[in-house]
Amino acid sequence: MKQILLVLALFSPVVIAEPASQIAWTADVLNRVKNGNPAKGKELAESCKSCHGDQGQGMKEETRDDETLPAIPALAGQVANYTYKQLRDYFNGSRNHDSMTAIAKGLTEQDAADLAVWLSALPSQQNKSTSQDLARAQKMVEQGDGKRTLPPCFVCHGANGQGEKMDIPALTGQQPDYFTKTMLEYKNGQRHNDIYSRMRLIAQQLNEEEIKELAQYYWQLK
Amino acid sequence: MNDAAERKLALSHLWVAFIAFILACFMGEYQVLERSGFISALNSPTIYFASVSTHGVLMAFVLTTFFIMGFGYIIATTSLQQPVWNKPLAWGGFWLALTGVMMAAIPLLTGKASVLYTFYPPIIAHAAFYLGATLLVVGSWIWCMIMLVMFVQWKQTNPGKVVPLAMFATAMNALLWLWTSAGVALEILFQLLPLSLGWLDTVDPGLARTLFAWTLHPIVYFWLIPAYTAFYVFVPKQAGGFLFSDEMARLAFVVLAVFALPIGFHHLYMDPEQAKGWKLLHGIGTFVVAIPTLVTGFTVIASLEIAGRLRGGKGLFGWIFSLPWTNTMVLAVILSLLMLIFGGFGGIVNASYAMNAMIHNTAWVPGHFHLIFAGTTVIMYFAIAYYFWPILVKKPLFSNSMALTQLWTWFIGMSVLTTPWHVLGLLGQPRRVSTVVYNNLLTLAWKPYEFMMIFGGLLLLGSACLFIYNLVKTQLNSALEISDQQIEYAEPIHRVESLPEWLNDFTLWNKVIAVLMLISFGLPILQFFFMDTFGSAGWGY
Repeated sequence: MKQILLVLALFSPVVIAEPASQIAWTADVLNRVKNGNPAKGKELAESCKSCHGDQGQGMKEETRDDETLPAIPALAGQVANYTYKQLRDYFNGSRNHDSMTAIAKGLTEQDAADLAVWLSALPSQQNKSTSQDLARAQKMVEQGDGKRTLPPCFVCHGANGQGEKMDIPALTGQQPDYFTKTMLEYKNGQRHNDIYSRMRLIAQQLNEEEIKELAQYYWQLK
Repeated sequence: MNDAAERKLALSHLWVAFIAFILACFMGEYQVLERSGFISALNSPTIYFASVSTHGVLMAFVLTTFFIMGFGYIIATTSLQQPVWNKPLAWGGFWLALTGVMMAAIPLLTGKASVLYTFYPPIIAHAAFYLGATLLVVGSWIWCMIMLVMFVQWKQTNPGKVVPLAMFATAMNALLWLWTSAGVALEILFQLLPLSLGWLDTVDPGLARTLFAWTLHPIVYFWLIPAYTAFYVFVPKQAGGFLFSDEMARLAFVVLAVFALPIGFHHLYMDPEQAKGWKLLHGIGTFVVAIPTLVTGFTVIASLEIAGRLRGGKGLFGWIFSLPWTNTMVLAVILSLLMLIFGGFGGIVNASYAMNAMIHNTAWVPGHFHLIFAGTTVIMYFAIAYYFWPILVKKPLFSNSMALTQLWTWFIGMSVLTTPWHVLGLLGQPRRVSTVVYNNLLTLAWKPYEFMMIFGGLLLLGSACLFIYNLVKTQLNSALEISDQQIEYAEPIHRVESLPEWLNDFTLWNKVIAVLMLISFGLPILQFFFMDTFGSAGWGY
């Protein structure tokens, strides 16, 4: 009996473990997003504007009346497949957010595809450069860090931070506060819908200062 | 070769080839500089991969295909002593192929086809790239048809006579190319083009790589056969001697063509989609191809020895010093054979499963194919061009000494470029990367080799510029001096009066190739249609 319990105990993590995401990039899923209806997406996106901005530019973290309002991501120009996956991850419980989970629960797969296609067609934000020294961030983006076995960011996110067709978000023009918050959530495991723990493993190797510099780098990247 | 129309046709092909070549040389030097990381301002993965894809396409597809077509027209008209069959069709093939090149150039240069010249799905390029590549191949098929028609027509009007060796080799190359290009044509038409146009949702990379492996090895022999043809039909005469054996030469071409085809899986040794038994079969075939290479080496060296001794050379090695080293064809063949020896050694490493595992996907591999292709093969393209140019433009070569300097600098440059490239592979440097900067003590040892490669590349670029300059100056020479030089084919030391039909025709060998291809590729391709495999969506543009 003890042995049976021991075996059950050993295998229990396997039994209860869930995949990071339930979205698989099958031809059906890719075609659903590709064939999303942008006109329908535009209609649906009306209700997103109050938080994500008129142009889908997102919002930086703000403090109003002693209350800190969290940063909200820019969605304009985001890779459609990525937006679709996030909405479905909220729907499936792979990613959690007080507001977004409830909103995504009200969207069908087709709604998510329509929204994703519309948002991807919006021009991403062009932000002004600051005088901040971002040489370290640029080096991380272009070369990574061999000592920490960190690959260069461009390998996945593209030389212009444009993302990739499957599962790799565009980072150009992303709100820096949101970028930082997201990376810190990956770092502490609060966010975990990245397949194969890819971003979690990378974020764990970065310190907060590096993350902030990367956030600023991508914010002003043209 | 007196007909202006034939000369214009050949020159047009050769100029397209050499313009592609010089553009690709500049890209090559940029790539070796960018990759080294010595100049951080050059660092751009996007531009690097666009450049390396364009460089590969220009060198491997444009230079070779157009050169071989132009070379074929010259050989056919001069060896058979008859005009090109159906010149409008030949020009049609030229323009079709050139249109294809232009069509492919746009996505290549705008970074929309950075898939390297070996394509590598599921990375997917813009449809215009695949359409352009298809037109280039179709244009070359027209050339193949013209070569084979001329071969057959000559045989019909000269029953029982021996087909000139140069035409036998050229027609054999046309046949080889038809077989060779079928693999990549199937891949483009049924997989890559429909995927890039959105007609297919997924691609099976295993099937695609198997089809490309069909093409990937024999294409090397398609490029090499003009060089071997020059070895046999021009070099002995230029050296002042005779061809050692016409029959041995034919046999070498036959074995090359037959066994170059069913052996492509040594490019897939580390791939999972084919079982080890098939890899073993293809591996054995790969070693069979070493035989005609050895026969060629022996025959050419024997021919040179005959020439050296006829020129008064004595002793075991004295004949070597009696050879006319100032003759571009003779110098080129000596340098070409030297590079073939070292490149051939590297090829044996690649073909051997265990050693292949050691150098797989390392810098060794591009080092090897640059030595064999850009070294052994392209140096003979230079020599052929130097020999043909005065005949094609009816003017003497602008500078023979410049040509000799160019050949030497190409040889030295290629040695300086590819030796460290091989070493870097053994040190573990990966290939297909846009930078080799890893911020790691272990990789510091790479830097001196990187520096040598940059220097080798500079030598090659300078050499390439000399080559183009010499050809341009020859053609634009305003002097009234007229060259009446004609193409001279080497005579065999023992005149060939008659030959068995299997050394004078391809019918038998075409059937042998068909059977070997069925054995080697039949089941490995069919398996994808009766096994459950999972395709991948295209990545990229």
